[in-house]
Amino acid sequence: MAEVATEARGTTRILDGVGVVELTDFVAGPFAGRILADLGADVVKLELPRGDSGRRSGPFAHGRPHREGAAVFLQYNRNKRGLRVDLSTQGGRRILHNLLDEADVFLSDLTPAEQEHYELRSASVRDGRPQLIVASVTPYGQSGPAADLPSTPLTRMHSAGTAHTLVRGLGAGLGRPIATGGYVNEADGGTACAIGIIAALIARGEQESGNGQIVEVSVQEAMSTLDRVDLSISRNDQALSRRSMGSGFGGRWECADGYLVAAMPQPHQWAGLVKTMGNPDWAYDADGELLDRSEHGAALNEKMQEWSSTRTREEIYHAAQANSAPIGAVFRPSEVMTSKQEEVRDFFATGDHAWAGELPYTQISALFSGTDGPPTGVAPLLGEANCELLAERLGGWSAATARRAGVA
Amino acid sequence: MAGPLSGRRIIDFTWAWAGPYGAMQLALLGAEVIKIESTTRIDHSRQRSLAAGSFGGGLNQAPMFNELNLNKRSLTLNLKTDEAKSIVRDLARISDGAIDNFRPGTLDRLDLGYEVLNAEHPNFVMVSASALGANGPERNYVGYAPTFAALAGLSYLTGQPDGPPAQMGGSIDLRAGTAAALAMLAALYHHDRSGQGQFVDASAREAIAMHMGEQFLAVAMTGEDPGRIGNEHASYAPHDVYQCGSNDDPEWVAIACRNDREWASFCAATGLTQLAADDRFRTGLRRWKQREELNRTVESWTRERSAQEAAETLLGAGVPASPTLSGDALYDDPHFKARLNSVPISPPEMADREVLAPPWRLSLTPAFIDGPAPMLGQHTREVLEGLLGYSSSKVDELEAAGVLE
Repeated sequence: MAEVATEARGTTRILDGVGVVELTDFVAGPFAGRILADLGADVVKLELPRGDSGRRSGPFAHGRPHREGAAVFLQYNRNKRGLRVDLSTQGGRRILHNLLDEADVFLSDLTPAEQEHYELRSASVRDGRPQLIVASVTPYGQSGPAADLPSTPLTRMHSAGTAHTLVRGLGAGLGRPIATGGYVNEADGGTACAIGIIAALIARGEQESGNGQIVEVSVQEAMSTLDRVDLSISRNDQALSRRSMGSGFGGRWECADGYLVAAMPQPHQWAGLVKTMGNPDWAYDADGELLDRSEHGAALNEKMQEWSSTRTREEIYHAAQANSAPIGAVFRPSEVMTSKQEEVRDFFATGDHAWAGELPYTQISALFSGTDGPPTGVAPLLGEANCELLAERLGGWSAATARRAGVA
Repeated sequence: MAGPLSGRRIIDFTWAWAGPYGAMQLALLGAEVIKIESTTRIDHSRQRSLAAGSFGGGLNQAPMFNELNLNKRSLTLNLKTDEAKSIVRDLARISDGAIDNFRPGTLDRLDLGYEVLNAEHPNFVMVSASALGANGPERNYVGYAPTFAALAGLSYLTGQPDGPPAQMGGSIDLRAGTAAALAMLAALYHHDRSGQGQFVDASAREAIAMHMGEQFLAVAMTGEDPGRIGNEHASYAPHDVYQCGSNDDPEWVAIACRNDREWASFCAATGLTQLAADDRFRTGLRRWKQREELNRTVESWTRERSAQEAAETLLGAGVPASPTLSGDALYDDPHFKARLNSVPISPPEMADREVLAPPWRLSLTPAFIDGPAPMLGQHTREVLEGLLGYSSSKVDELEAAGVLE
């Protein structure tokens, strides 16, 4: 069987030599840049003088707020080089344009009004740079009445249908809608944007002209598309959409030390679970046949709850999976970090940051047999690569000019 | 139309939700995606939904299957027969890659694993997307959306502070499928540049976990697991979802004030001027500490109006707000309509439907939806005769021998 040995991969990265200039904030745009950086792109992250707002979002390393210690910033900006620049100055904008002259990708999260403000409209940025891929990931895209409206991760999630769909999973009917934990739905915008950018790189390589193009992603649409099945059913299949989650066997059960979940569409999976429970009589009808789990779902769920209440998550998880029953333990994040499975797969890699110290960073969720995994770098300190980039890309800038542009 | 993957052909061995959506994204980007199906081992999304149960229609009438297999072609094969394996090998020779979401090792047991396909087509690209990956002690474990979310730690973080963890559904599968599509695009790009193929081992659990990496950093920094906070924020208030209208037919509006300026705008726009003057709510920290009381007052305002009216009032004043949109309300939303997010399609055995547009807008090589999901085996003959050049009498023989079931 094909297996990717984590220590014996290739010697190159997929996006080696691809230059990305990133002007984004917080989670969605930075995650798109992080994916490209993990795949080997040279990502130069521009920050305005105040720094990315992720730098002000707790928790922080060493237990106190510090712009170099914020979990959100560290996570979403790993493996990038940092340039602090004041885009309100002419000099600052010239630096950006100089960088864009040599870049393959410009990744930003400027809304239409912000693009106007900075004179960075996607089409005009491509003027004279036919090879450039100009990508944006913004809350509501580059067009439409909401494109410049104020929003936050919470309001975006509720506007996307995500929160409405998710509440059905709480098992309490259609009550107060709920937000997904963390910033998962913001990161979804970043993943969609990274896909759009790589698709544009593929398309660029296909053409003799080598032309780039404009890639536009809306965070709201990136969220909605993940709930496309529920949203479409709600629109097109009224009768089906009124049925709530939890019909039939399956759902969530409480056990001795937490919770378990499962969906079990296949008969052999149900048989495997029954075997795990020691073939109890209540799972069979008078003729010795396994009870139909759809028809008797509620009663079987009660029995399962009774059985699981005296057992631990780990005990049931491993025993059920050994019998092909797709039971999942509701793990705490700390338990994911210490799982043997993820240790073997090197899913968490240690990065050593000058201020924050050694921390475990998630990797891309796939192991590639022919190319190297992500670099083991960390997020840049604010303005960390200013001198380096001034010398490397902006030769001819005097220290005084650079200071006026906010880069020195 | 020409998408960025036009001219590429992908063999799609996937079923259920995550894998099919992974392959569908390649089809939306222009690839020709040929889904290998079986009449005896039917993709369960043609029959039922984990959330809603059996929908009661025929195999070509399932809304779930349709949403996850747009733009694809369907080829039915009984992979237990040698002739069917031979067809897959023939197909591999003229394809760029393959994607599957079987339990690791399943395709190898069918003698159709990466080594076999790569021998037919050197430098083949293959993405194998499983629940927990193809190595490690739990490589044989299986799961669906609720399992992946639970194992990744996301269920634990999702829910009300005083309630249980959420049992999560469809979007989890589609997120795992999105990560698989990302991996395929990366591998195809590498093949374009280097000529090298590769095998990619993708984990659905890790696909969820990589979208919440800061939560693991938080554990390492604080020594504790973050808790469930519902719709709240660690430092902003008001920041929640509020009921509008009556208990019989409630609507909901999400409101977030991030700073003193938005708070002042909120008080002015709602006419709750007594709040602006109240010393208990003067700073962000005070508002956050008194958020229970604050939330009651905010909800007393929202209950007097519709979610739409509440959101419009606040947005007009520069305060982030949105109604909690259900599917129908989203399709009818002016912004959704202005961006042409609803695409009409006409599946052969279903009523006309509106599905969601692809989530990327590419100016030169746009993604597109050019057809509904295929009927079971709809393209079997077309693929065998048209693509592989089999004679119609050979296809008749294969059919008679049960190879195409």
